[in-house]
Amino acid sequence: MRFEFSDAEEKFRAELLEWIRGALPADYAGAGEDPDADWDLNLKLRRELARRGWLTLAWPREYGGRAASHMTQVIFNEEMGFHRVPGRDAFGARMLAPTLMVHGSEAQRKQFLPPVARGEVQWCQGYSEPDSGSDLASLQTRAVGDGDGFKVNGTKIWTSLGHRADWIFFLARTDPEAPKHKGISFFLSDMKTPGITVRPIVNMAGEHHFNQITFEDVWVPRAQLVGEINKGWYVATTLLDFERSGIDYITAARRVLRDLAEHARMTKGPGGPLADQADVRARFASLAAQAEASRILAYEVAWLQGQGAVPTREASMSKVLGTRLMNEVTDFGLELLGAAARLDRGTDSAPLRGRILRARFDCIAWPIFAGTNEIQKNIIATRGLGLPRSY
Amino acid sequence: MDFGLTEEQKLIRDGARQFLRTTATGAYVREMSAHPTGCRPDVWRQIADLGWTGLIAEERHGGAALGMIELAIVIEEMGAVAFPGPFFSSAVVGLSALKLGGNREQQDAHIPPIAEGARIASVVLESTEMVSASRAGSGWSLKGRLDYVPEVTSADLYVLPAVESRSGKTLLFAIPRGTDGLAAGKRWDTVSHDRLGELALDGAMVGADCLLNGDDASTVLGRLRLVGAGLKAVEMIGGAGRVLEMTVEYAGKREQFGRPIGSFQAVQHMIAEMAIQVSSARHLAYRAAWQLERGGDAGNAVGLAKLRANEAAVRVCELAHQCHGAIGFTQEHDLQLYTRSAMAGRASFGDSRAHRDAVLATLGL
Repeated sequence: MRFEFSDAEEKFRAELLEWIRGALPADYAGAGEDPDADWDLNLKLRRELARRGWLTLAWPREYGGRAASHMTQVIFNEEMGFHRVPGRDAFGARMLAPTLMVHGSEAQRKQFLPPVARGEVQWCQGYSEPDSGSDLASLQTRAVGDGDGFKVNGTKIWTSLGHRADWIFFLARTDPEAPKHKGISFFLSDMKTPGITVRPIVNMAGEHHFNQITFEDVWVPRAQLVGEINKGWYVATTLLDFERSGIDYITAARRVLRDLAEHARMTKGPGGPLADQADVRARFASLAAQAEASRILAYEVAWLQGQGAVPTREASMSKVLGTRLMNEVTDFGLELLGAAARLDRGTDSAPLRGRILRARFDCIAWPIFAGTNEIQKNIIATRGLGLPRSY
Repeated sequence: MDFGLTEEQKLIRDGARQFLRTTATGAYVREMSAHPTGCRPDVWRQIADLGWTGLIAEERHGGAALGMIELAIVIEEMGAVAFPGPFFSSAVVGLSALKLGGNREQQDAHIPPIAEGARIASVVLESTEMVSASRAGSGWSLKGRLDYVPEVTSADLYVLPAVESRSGKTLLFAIPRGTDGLAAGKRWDTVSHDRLGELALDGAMVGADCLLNGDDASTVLGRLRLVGAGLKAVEMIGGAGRVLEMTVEYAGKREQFGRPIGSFQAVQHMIAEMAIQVSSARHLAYRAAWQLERGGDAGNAVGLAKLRANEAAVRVCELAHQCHGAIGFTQEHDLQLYTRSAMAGRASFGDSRAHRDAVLATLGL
């Protein structure tokens, strides 16, 4: 057992931190305040990350990546998250690219990987549908053979960055007679294809992050089918050997906790700084211990992956812990702000630039997306602990 | 980062698990609750033969010269069976006290018998009262009372702090049982049937050779509290891990509505939560042991570990009770042994409030 990073890992962290210090505008409030407004900065930094080889840190060398260890990826994601640096590319570099490396044709890899590596294309993900959430395999979007391609009809929803995306990867049913997991295929489509419409959905925080995407007789050439027909479920659930530690949730919570600690030190409460009050200290201590525990669990996930293991149970635990922690931390934060908890970022006197309120809203979604925390607990209980399945 | 065990560490874990799970059954643990030392002599002998009582003692003292991680591995397995007895007091804190505070002669005199299991040490770290020490001839006269004394009636050697009456400095003494003026009170009735109680020192005269750390012992005492808290966190996680196993097993066999209750999501989610609590506390506990082994300031690592273990261990037991239903509330069921241990563990070597400042230092508070 060794609970410290190697010299090489620490060196990478230092190099990254130095770049981060120079990369952000002086008055930068941080992604999460308004991701959509930070979009240009996002694209600019993404290209810089691409130039430094950090956008493709985890890719194998044969595709121009750095084949970085899982632990190095954790460090990268942790520091980028903690300093709220935009620019990372979840859908292209972290999700689609490794899927194509495993299941894509040579032509698909040649066409789609280089623009992702250069940070020049935005992808989005078409998985969820209005009637298919946790039970994703019940999806109803249809793709029917049509000449040298497919005609697609259906609706995708909760599509993050759908309004910013150039391309979409999505799942559609190609055999309605087959058992539900065995009639699904994995496709790629240009978002400018006729028949695709994007309807914005504004979330409760007032932000435009996700969308509903309608396919109406959208033609997709056969060359954009990934893997075999009707095998799309396996393409979609490919165990991508990228960092899956859940560090992003935990890092966000740690950052808010640190900001709140500073606020509590600087803010007068009845009889002295908030940071001196016993109830405040008790909450901070409990949350700090949970945050540190969650962080080490995320490192363990990366370590297990580095050992060649598939840490399904640990990754699910990390998601539950991190997302729950973020909800607790931001809620505690609002309590700490007292009357000012109501002030949103448009008010000049809003404490911490209204960021706690924003984060409080944002993270309501976290226990829901990427597999609800209840689904994660089902996975822990059944796949992790061997209890009988209930569905 | 390395979360793995070496081959030698795996052997220690497997050996400890096998020995403890066959020896320390629920019946044994119950039987020991009234036993004067909390450990049947033949079992203590076997523990000594396995080298555990001298695990962290140096080879020249008959020890195995292993480190805190190896000690933590054994202690986690002891926690997993709610193992009663003086091991923690003697082989963990006792040996640490002598290693940290004793000079060469004192170590040579006291460590070998403790390492071979022939003597039991008790280190007083949690007393709410204080003893005063005054010079008397070439030695010292000690006066006062101490409470929360571990192994109060069975220890052979008491390691205890006293305040020097003139300078106000804290001193540390190692005093054999049988010293005139030293009187152990009766063993208290406690939640986990441990062997705490009071010790009275009525002008007990002790020689200069009983003074452990000549100058100021507060650094040594601080370190010993961290050793105790860090390894107590490990022990608590051992118990919580076993409670999780018991609950998975029970939920897999207990049927209601014609199905194992473990197939119901309401039950699965409680059990998943238990697993989350155990995993999230376990790494912090081992990191504390690692930090203690490594030297340097371990206050933050230990504080985080103990605070998290305090919350997790009790929560795990609560959820286990809910999954077990009425049977888990009985004396005949083993679950209560673990719940009692978790409650005792939470209160020992610093409750959550005691570790709060160390944890808050990580946030600059």
